[in-house]
Amino acid sequence: MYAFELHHAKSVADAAALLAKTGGKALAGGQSLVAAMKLRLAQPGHVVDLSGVAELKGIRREGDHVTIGAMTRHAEVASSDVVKGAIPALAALAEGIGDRQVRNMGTLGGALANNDPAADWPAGVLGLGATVVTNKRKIAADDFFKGMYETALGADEIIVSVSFPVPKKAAYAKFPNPASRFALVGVLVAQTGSGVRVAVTGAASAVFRCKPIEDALAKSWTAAAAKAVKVSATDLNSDLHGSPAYRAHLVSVMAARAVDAAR
Amino acid sequence: MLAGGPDAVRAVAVALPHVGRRSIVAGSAPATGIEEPARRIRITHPKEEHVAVTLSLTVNGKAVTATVDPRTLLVELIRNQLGLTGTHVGCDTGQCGACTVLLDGRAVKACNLLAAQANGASVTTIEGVAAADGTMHPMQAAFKECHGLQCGFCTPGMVMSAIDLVNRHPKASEAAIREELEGNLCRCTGYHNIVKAVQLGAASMGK
Ligand SMILES: Cc1cc2nc3c(=O)[nH]c(=O)nc-3n(C[C@H](O)[C@H](O)[C@H](O)COP(=O)(O)OP(=O)(O)OC[C@H]3O[C@@H](n4cnc5c(N)ncnc54)[C@H](O)[C@@H]3O)c2cc1C
Ligand code: FES
Ligand code: FES
Repeated sequence: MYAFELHHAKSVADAAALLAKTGGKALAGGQSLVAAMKLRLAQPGHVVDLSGVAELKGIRREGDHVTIGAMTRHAEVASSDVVKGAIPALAALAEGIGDRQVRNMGTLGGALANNDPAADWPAGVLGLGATVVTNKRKIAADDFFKGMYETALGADEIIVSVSFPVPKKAAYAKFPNPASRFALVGVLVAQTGSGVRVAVTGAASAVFRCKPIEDALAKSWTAAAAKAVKVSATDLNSDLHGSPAYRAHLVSVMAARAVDAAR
Repeated sequence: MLAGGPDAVRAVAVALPHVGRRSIVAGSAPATGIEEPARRIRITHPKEEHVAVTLSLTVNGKAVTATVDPRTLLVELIRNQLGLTGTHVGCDTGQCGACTVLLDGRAVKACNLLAAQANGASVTTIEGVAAADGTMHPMQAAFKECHGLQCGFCTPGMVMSAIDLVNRHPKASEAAIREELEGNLCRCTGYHNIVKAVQLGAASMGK
């Protein structure tokens, strides 16, 4: 790891000012950033610790939305009665991230800002049509995820919270990579106020919505309808764990499983 | 590059033992300077520079203050500076769980966080779980009783994860135990006796 200077932000404004001044990186749970710094894949000269910023924490129900603070840990989402009551799909998604130790440190904001192509949270946020609230603006999920490890966030922009509209029904089904537990393919299906949404992670360079399955499920909300869709393998990931065709097949299979599990 | 000289190098080596001489004296020019000794120590390498941070935390019930290079990992603080070598480093990449400790009661992988992330927190390592008179923690005793270890390398991390698990789920089923120990790898036992040990440990912890 290269040397860096560590700063402790006391508020969102303070964190944004420190990031703007130093050109550094925010530190949330460190589960991706510290690992990347150890490998020297990330080499920030300044690191701004967000753990002391109270405004970034907490889970609350606000009418037909559930708002989760960026620094909320995966384990806290998984065990939250508010989340389990309103959007059980999200609690289950959070419970399936990595392992216990990772869930005890990793945060929602860190996972979204990182936008790993195989991460679970991006599917939850895109699939439910959530809104990412930053210190500068509100970003619709459809505009947030830009590509592999790429988001709409500016350099000194901080995710404050994410606001999830409560869906009529939703579920997330993931086929985990047996070693890392990241998604080989993960699919979130939801019946939302604005129609059926299907978000896929792990299959391509970044999370995406699968229009053919959305259309099929809008016509018939059944596992069979999802499974019958032949997803195109073009531009899907290829690695030692699976070919593009295998991943394309898994997208329909996981979508079908999610429809069965949706409540 | 800042001026330094041998005295400054020595002072930093004492304050930051894990940095090691190699990285401090690497290259032709001694690369060290000190400003506000003890609190703000600045080391400059050809490409590297940092300002030391002072941390206060509780480790196994004792208050600890340490001045470290910010890039010090929690596991490096625990093993190299505090000499608590029961916490092991297996993979150093956040996969194996050998380095698991409790941070404010929650199991975390100490190789995958900065020591500074434990500032103000309470850390429990395997050295901190037995009773003051040396009586093993019920979970340690259960691992011994059930032959839940062979080489023992993964055991400290397994025991710490198991304690966190039982604190949250005192009556976890066998399947739930297997699921919950996902973040701890064992190269020897095949997990069977580990799961039995956690079941016995859970029963004795409940007594
Ligand atoms: C062994 C292991 C297994 C894992 N398995 C999975 C898995 O199965 N599924 C999965 O989805 N993930 C998995 N992860 C990743 C994990 O979920 C991380 O916690 C997460 O990706 C990053 O969250 P963090 O809080 O640790 O962020 P950090 O590592 O601290 O930060 C990550 C990035 O986000 C930026 N950032 C952090 N917070 C903010 C903010 N509020 N605003 C703006 N930028 C911010 C940082 O600057 C950094 O660039 C795994 C990680 C490990 C180590
Ligand atoms: S040494 Fe930390 S997880 Fe393997
Ligand atoms: S007992 Fe040897 S690695 Fe687990």
